[in-house]
Amino acid sequence: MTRRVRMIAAGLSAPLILSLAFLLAACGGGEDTSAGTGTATAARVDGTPVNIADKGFTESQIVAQLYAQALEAVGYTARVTSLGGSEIAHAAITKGEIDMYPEYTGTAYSVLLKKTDVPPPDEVNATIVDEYATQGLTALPPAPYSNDNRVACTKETVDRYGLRTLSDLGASSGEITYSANPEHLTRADGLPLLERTYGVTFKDVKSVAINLRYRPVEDGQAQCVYAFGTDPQIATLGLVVLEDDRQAFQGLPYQNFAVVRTDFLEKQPALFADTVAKVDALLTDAAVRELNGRVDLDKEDPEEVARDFLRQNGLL
Amino acid sequence: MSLLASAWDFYRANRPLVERAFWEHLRLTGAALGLAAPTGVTLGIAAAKLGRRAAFAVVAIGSLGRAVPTFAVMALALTLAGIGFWPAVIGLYGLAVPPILRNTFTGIRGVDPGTVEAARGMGLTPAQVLARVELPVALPLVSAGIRTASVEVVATAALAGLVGAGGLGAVVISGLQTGQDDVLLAGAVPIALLALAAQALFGAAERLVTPRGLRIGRGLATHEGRTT
Amino acid sequence: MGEIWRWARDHPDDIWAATVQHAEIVLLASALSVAVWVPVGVLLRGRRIPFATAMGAAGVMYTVPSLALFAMLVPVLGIGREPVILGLVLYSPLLLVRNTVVGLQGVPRHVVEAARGMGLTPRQVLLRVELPLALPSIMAAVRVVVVTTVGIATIGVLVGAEGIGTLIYTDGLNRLFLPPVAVGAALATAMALLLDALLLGAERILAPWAQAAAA
Repeated sequence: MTRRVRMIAAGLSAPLILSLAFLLAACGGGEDTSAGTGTATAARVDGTPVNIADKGFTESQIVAQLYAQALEAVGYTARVTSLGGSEIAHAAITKGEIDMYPEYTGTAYSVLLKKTDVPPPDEVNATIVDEYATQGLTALPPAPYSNDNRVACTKETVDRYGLRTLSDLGASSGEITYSANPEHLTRADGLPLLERTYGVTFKDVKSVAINLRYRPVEDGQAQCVYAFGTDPQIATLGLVVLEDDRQAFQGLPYQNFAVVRTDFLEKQPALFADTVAKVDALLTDAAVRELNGRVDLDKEDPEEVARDFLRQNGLL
Repeated sequence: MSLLASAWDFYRANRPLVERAFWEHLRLTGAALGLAAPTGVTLGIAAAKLGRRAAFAVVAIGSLGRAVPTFAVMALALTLAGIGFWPAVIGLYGLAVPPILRNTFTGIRGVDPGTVEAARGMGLTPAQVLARVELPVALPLVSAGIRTASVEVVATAALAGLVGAGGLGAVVISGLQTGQDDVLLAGAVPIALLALAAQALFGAAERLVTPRGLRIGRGLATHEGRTT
Repeated sequence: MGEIWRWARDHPDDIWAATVQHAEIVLLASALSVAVWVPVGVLLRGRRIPFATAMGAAGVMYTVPSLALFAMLVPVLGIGREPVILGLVLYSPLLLVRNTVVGLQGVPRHVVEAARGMGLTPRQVLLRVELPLALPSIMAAVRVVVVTTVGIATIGVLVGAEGIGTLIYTDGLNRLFLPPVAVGAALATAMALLLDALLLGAERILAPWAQAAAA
């Protein structure tokens, strides 16, 4: 073979080999290599890796960071990835790409398990635990706070149209612009539900990235916004939360709980679930709202905010 | 195939949502192109007339512009300008001007100097030379630049759904985040069709303004790299 | 400006992770594109109608906006980097196949005939004479493909493919927070320019007889 041909061959095979290598690396990256201690009463683990995801919005990022740092404090090596939404996170965890992520009971029930009824919270939680088990997932007990689905409107709007409930909103919605994230627009428990159950037909809907939902309201481009119960902006912008008179939008509880892959959890000592439970116990409505405020309003980093919170509460 | 059928069903069941998104997408594209075309052509002419350093600057900015991802440019523009229709248009405008500017510049520069001299010799003022000789000759390239820009704008306008400017991108992202493939397609297919329509429309216009003698094979006269 | 530096200094891990993930996607997509489309170009040269058809199809693919294309591949490949990589590979034939064919067709007839005359089989002629001479044309296409891949891959974050897009969108635009956006933009630009320069260097080494390669 001439030198030239050898060089060409080298040039062409290098990318091929590289791509093979990366393919293998990429495939290999999905497995977690748990050290699997046997002692149920271990006080620390030895650097066991754990892949945690968040759903890309402030509160989710904070909770994921809380889990990650609390687990690192007892010896885990945590990696946090931001995913685009609930369905994406659910797909990722069932495929084994991540080991755990924080989810809401209401979301799990209606969006992921695709249920359309509204039973009491205990039943919701029990159903989630059972059905998740069949998918190889464990639903750990939920935290005390509940992050409700809400619609909040400016005081002027509420006064002008005499809005008190979501049904009132339905009647006046033809003149109102609504601000929401893309997911909400077609999510089963989102805008379609408002339209179906409350007769809402907004004049216009501003679709914004989830953490930017309040901007159109601040700029005066929207009068009502898809709000979470723990959003600090409700207070700081003086918005009024509309009452859910038919209990459809907020019939389900939206409590935060950790979803963990069963095969991962089984290899962990009780320390893992205990640490997660300790974090959950700290999450009251007030605490979460304050944490959200520090990130959304004060523009602090979720990682720092989580660290401070854990230190204040003795978990770090 | 049945996936497309369910996408069609979604469209029929949610006409207001999809149609509003479609018109928002068109409005964004139209506004951005409507502002970018005059700007790009004017700046291109100005740069063409200015001399060697201008040429260097234009080429350098052009190459750099292609290396900066469109997504990044849009994100920068929107982070600085805030959310809403007009900030999104500003971002899209910033993307549409470079190809039009580059092509106008190249087109005008490419006019045979002999022709220009002959025209001046005939007593035409510089403005008349520009209007009657240079621009008509440069028109095919200018048109190609507008075509390239239009496809880019249609593509990038898909990101507008993240910043309160509406558009079909919101439908696509909504479908992606909720794992509803029919929703996703109900947004993605129209975007693709719009891009193809823009390509076809401006491509036809381009062929119309290209004198037969200047036709370059296969209409791939200027195929710049994709950026969105 | 200071805020951007501070953010960059405080987040080296995020920046590094994003860079590595992004580079993986770019290299995988580019390598796959070359490995698939250059041979196709070799196969299609001289066959006018199949070539024209392929170019037509490639042109249509090329026009589809990336978010739409990635999204349309999600039902097939799920979310993550797979639809992004496949989408990027589907964008490149227009340039890669075309430039391979044009490059091969540009090899002077008498050179090919001389090689045949020296007793080389068609295959040897292809590997030892035609492809090397077509290299500048092919490399020109590869460079454009790689540079645009760096840019388009940023959009992959919206379908679950982490990379520089994570900095630009998840950390930046999603919070209307400038520093990660600026860092992401600079990083992607640097990566594109660096890869372009590397490829140009590789071309000079592999085909030193062809300077002033068309860009």
